[in-house]
Amino acid sequence: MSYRLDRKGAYQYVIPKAGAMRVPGLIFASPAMLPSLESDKSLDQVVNVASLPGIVGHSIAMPDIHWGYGFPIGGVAAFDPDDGVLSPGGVGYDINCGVRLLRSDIELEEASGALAELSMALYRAVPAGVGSKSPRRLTQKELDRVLLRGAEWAVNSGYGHQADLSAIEESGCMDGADPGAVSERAKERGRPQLGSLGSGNHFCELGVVSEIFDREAAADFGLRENTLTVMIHSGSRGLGYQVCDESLRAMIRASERYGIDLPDRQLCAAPLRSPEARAYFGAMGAAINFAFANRQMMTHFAREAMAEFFGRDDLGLDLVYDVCHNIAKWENHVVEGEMRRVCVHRKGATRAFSPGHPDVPERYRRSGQPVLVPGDMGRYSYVLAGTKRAMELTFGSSCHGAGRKLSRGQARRTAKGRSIFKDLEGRGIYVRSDSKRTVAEEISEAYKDVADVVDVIDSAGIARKVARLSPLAVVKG
Amino acid sequence: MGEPSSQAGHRAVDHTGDVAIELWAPTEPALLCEAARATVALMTEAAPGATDHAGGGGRARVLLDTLDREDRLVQWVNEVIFLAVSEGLLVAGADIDIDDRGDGGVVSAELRLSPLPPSGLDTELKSATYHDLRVERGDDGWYRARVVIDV
Repeated sequence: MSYRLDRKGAYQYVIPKAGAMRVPGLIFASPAMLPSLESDKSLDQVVNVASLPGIVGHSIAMPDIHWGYGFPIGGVAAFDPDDGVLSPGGVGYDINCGVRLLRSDIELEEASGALAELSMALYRAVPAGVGSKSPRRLTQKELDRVLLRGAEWAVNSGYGHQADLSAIEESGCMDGADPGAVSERAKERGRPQLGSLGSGNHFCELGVVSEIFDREAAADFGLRENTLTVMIHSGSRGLGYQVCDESLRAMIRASERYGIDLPDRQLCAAPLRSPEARAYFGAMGAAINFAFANRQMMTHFAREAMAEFFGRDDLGLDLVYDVCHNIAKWENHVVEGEMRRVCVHRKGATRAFSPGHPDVPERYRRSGQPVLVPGDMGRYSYVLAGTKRAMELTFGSSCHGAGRKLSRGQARRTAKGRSIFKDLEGRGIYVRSDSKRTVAEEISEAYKDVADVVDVIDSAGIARKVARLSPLAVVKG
Repeated sequence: MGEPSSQAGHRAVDHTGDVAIELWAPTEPALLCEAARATVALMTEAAPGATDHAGGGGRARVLLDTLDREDRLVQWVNEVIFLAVSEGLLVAGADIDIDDRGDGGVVSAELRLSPLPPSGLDTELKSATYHDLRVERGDDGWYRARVVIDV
């Protein structure tokens, strides 16, 4: 379906309220991005979200938007506590899929002759691939602690440092998590997987700070040009998928019970104050904590591998930040001139709180919250900082990545006959994966150029560029 | 959505972030069997039906309490995914009975299972979704369906 898109400002387009929409749509995109947006169902999904009860402000889409299921990927929506709803489809299957960045004091020249070996060291250290499993066998009791305490459990179990916790969204532990709301089946599916990447677009990437755009913020984030970084992208593995699947069924029933019209069943939802929403908050919180602990364990594995490889512990591999991509939570935002508590759904979007915000770690209050935007494995990633403008326009949110452009099948067909591993190695990027299929599906051409996405974000003012990272070695699932 | 022929079939369809499958079969139980074949083929890169009649993984009984015909397809595909990722077992065949009297319906199935190949799974499927989900019975009596799977 085609929609009227009114240009509102720099890289902003509004879909005016029409039909069942309760609020307008707000799309962040460049003119060049519009044709591809209009060629699939992404905009239908923005409009569908705009029809959900109690939505406030706009149904928002980031420039990395692509066609998801229910909510678009790259979607942000906030709901009023009295009239609004909670939707598991607005969070997605991989609950708290997210990304974290470690900085280091290792100069590029110290590693540049040994990247092949270093990439193998990371590949051996971080469990990756379809059905990848953890080296740690959890008891039922331990798993319940993971679900309750998240990254704190991991740090207290020897995976990382106390200082890591303050560099994680929600300090790595979601309040209100209820392990009792997670089914035995979800626990069975997730238990062997804690501390593993999984597959698809998940990765552990060794990179180098290749350009600094904002010296002051880069210094606050501990980023120096030509030093190495490690980025880890993963989520709640099978536990999160199962929680989402089971919650959807409960929410489909709830939608009928509460008379919520659904333009797409995947948008099923329940009033925020209902028992169904409370149950989902508890289960989602537990899955969020599983994902925080998961990334924390892999951080430890990567640090160990790097320390062993370089033969010393003083590498300065400190956590810059850890952000969630798929989440719903209570936050305070100004809506129609009034500070209100709203439930913000981010599906394939990143929190991007401004300088001075009390939820931003103290050491980043001058610069704003670090926003980590991975690109594809062959080009670059960005570190941004949250802005006041994001607080005003997007409930303190920004983009989460490059956004897929080709389907997985199209990507495989594009990669056919090429050696992706060799091509990338020729450009100094060492890719390690058990699966040629996954690597073919993740070729650069499968994604938008993340630089274009980030330029839209930066120009629209909903985050600002701090640094660019270039990949050196990528462990893919 | 799928040409009726003398037998059930399926095809994978591109979807930007995920994968969709289209299915057709003369009966609803046959449609679910075809969905299992399609799901196993997606996870293992095996030719569809490569594991049919394979054994060695034993048998299992599955009961699904479902909301309606569409939910039956989603729950069924998710059961096939769960068995593969958590139990290491592929569904190689099934005798399926559907009782759709009253609200929703109940699927009871006797599954024939085979162990995963030593190389394991090739693709991790997260879940079948309710997005763009269709299960229809045509005037010719055939069932046609489309389900998007999050990868």
